[in-house]
Amino acid sequence: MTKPATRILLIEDDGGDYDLFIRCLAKCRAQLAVSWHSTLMQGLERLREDRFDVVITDLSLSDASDMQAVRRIREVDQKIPIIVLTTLDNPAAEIAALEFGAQDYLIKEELTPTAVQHAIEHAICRQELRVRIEQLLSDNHAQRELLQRKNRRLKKVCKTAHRFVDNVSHEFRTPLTVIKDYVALVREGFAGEVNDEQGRMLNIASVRADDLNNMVDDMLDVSRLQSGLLVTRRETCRLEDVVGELQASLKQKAEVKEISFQTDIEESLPDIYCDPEKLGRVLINLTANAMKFCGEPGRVRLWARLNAAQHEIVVGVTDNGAGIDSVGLSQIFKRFKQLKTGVKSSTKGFGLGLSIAKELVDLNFGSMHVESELGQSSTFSFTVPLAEPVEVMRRYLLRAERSCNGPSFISIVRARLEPSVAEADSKAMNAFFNNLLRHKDLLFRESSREWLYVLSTQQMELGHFMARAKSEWEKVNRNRPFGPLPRFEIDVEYTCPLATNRDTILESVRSIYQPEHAHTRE
Amino acid sequence: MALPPQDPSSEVLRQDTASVPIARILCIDDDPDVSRILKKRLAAYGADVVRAFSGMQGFWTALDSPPDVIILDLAMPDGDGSYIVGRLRSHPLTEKVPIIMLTGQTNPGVKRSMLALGIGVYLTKPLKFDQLLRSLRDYIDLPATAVVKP
Repeated sequence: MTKPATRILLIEDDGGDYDLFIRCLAKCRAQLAVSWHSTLMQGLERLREDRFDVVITDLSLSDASDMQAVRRIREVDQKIPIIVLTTLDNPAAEIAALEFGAQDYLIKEELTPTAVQHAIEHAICRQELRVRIEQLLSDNHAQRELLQRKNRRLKKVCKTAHRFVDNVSHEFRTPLTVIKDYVALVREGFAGEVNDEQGRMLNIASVRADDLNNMVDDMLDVSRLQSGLLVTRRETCRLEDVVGELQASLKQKAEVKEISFQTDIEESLPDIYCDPEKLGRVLINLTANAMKFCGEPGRVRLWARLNAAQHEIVVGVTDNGAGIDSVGLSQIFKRFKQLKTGVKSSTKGFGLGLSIAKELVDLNFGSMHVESELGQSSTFSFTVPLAEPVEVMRRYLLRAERSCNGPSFISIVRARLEPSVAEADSKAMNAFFNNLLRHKDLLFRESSREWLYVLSTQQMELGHFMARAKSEWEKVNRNRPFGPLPRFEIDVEYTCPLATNRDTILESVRSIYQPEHAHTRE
Repeated sequence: MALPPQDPSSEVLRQDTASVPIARILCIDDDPDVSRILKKRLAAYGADVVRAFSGMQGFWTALDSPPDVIILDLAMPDGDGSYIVGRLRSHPLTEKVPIIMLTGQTNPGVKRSMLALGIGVYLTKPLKFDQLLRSLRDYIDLPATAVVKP
């Protein structure tokens, strides 16, 4: 198939130059069809009527001078390639012509067939590319605007979602809490004596209200986990305290379900570092699971022991249920997964408890395990790190490596009080330092006068943090009814990009942190 | 102030102590059930809970006779509790009365700004009564055990 001839619109007012050009074109090997017009007006009119592949124009025409010709042609056709043909060998004019949208600049005296042919081919090619690039740029611009619009919308949706989750949580919890509180008041005899049968019924009401509360918590946690809105507040705490807070309601539940429930926590366990509320949720979910699937008569044991070698505490819940087979074990932590069991329970739940527990354990830098002996028992256990900065940091870094949108810098900041500060003030300062914590930061109380912050920041945020510490301190002092908080010093001890080798960071933390301060508790 | 030991011979004394409130606590919450439950529970510790159901009512009650501690909700129909904190803090009669904020709002930013306004403790709902008791003991003396009276 032959290539169709390239259609050329030639605008040239000099007949001699036209002859010269036509002779030159005749020697070209390419198929060319030339339409000639001697004025710009005629040329433009023709351009409006017909389709051409390229326009070749003289610069000085009877009805146009300077760059007028190029400009007008461009106005009429945005996309057509233009080649300027001139006697003017002037680099400034050449640049001007290109700026006005011409693709090439040919000097009449230097015309050769090859040069003309190349100029035409290249001009067409260049103009095609140019049009394409412009198209891409404008597409890109449109896409960017669309993205920005979508981003704005997403931010709004995210904010609305957050508010919605908070509202739902508040709206559900308020009546639930009131129900539970009144039941407890009646149960405890605030409204007159309660006989045994009434007491049992009230216990059941209380346990059921707890169940409902946990279901609300589960649903909210799932939506928060999915949308990345779950905020973690990790701190140094004691496992005994967390278990202690839950003990009464767990016992009550066991009593109502006629299950023997035992807690077996090793004595004087060291402090742990975690979000106590999340830890509590894990304990509730694992115990609720065990109480649902235990045998007849049911036995559930909540136990904890120190694993000094791994710098962690292992917490487990063991039941005497039918156990789980290997297929079940591989699926048990999947969301909404409910294994087929012989247990006839009035409430099926949503199959969320275990999957949430696993994710909350991960947020607390631990891991979840399950072991089961068919027909004998199942044990769900998880780990939680001791409150040792180096160990917590190690797990923190490991976790940060897994999440791709983590912070870019790690900084260690030490805050100190004067040695003469009173204990009550030190306690108030501990609360103050805790309140400064942001979502991904860690804080360790090294002694009653020293705190160690691990901050995950973008490059510029460290200065902001230091400034914020000072300004919050001033703000609190302005309104504190019991006199000002004591003064404190705050210094950056170490800062490095998160991409640094993990061992290097840990070595630095180790050298900053003085282990003789470990587990100081007043 | 602590209750005397649970000795039958001190019954008379015990009744006397119970008749004079150990502390006056003002609870400002638009949900009447929240303050009614607190009133019941704290009465068992000999504390007298005065109730108010809106921020401004609470503010005027506090001025009328300043309590030992104020328990304050954050979101109320007549406006944000932070406004009341500001007014309580700037009035000479109430500037030193400790405020315990009791709210469903768990946002750490809100907590920070409330602490900066001069509240003493920030507790979130659902309330753990033991936690409130611990916070109250920082400001007032309460007996170690509750005496439940129907």
